[in-house]
Amino acid sequence: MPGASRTNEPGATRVLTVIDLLLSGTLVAVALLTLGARDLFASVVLFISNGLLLALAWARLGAPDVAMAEAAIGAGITGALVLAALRRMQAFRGHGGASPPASGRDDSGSR
Amino acid sequence: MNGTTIFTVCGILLFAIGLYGALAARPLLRRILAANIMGNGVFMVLVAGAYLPADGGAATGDPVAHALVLTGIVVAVSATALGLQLVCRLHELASGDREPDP
Amino acid sequence: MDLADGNDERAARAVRVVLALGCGVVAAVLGWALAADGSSAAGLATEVRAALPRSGVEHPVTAVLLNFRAFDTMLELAVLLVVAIATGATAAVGQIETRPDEMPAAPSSPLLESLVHDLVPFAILVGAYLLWVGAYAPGGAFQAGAMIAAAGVLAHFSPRFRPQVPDRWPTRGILVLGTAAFAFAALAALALTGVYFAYPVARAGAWILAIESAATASVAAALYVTFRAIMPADRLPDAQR
Repeated sequence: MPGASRTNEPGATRVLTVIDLLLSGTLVAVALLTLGARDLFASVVLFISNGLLLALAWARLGAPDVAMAEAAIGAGITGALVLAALRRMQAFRGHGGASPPASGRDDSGSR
Repeated sequence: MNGTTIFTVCGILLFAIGLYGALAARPLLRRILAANIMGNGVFMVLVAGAYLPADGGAATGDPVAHALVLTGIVVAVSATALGLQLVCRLHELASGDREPDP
Repeated sequence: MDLADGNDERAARAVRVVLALGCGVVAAVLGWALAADGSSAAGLATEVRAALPRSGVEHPVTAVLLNFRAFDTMLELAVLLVVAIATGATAAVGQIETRPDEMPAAPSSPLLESLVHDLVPFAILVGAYLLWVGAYAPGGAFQAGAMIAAAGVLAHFSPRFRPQVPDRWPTRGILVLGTAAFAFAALAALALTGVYFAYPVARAGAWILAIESAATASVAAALYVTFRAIMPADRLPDAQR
């Protein structure tokens, strides 16, 4: 989060506006990609990325509690639950074997 | 255009995208993800409306709104979990595979 | 939408276009409604800051969650409890509670084993720290509970360290502990000061820490039980079945 003494310059404000625009644009783009992805595994991975970018947006909006909760619960736990559901339904539809390897994956989504 | 306007517009767009996905997507799992994206949009509008600019320290916000959004995130994961369990059981019952082999 | 039969493809596409236009209209209406908000009130930040010394903690969001709006947080914990019960009740047989002798040998790499062995205690420690620091800085019960649940999810993938979830009273006790602690605090406050959830000001910090510890355990247990209810049980490879 930016300190107060450096945001009084117009240049710093412009940079922060650009950062906000980029972050919002990426959020909307990733949301569109989540819903338009070819297979469900890509959708879920993009959804987790959306959650992490959202945590950045909360940090930018001065909400550190919400940012921590979003990263842990919104992206982490929800991602783990959705991946578990995907695994259980074995619903890895995709072109050319987009299914992930057979062993489990951990919460950090390193695979 | 300051930051809160940008994020309010982003929240509205996320809500609209999620609404479309929740109604029009074919796989049930994608509908659940779309409902979550709708919720994210609502939270973003709430937190952007609660923004208080920095006065002497870092930027902060209305604590009651932050507490509401925190509660909302936890309730969203609960609803998502229940929805996922129902979708999995639907899939298992529909495909005739009642119990997985222990 | 279930309309996309082979010869109804055009109808389905038309419906989707109409839906997209409808969502665009919704977005426009929302934008118009939120842009017309000219008078920006300061919200409740000043009131919360004024009442902060009486709440027992120094962080405004924690004070709001655990003291000023404690009823909402209790209901939130109740929602978590209900979902943990519901998902656990609809899980397949053998999914949550696997006896050790029945646990099949899931393939596991030494890298995963060492990762779990080193990372899980650290994650639990970070969760405990988040619980403690919630009174002074951003943190609190839900972040800590999610961290510990994530440690459990990580430990799940190593058969040696997988947490056991027996369906007996310790598990059920931990699940109920958070909601029960809130309810008990409300009734105790009623007995002591005459108002629900009005903790005695002198000891409010200790009360909040006790409730938060119970809530952390409850949140972690509920999230992990929900994960176990959704995660499929390991299957033996086909050659060994």
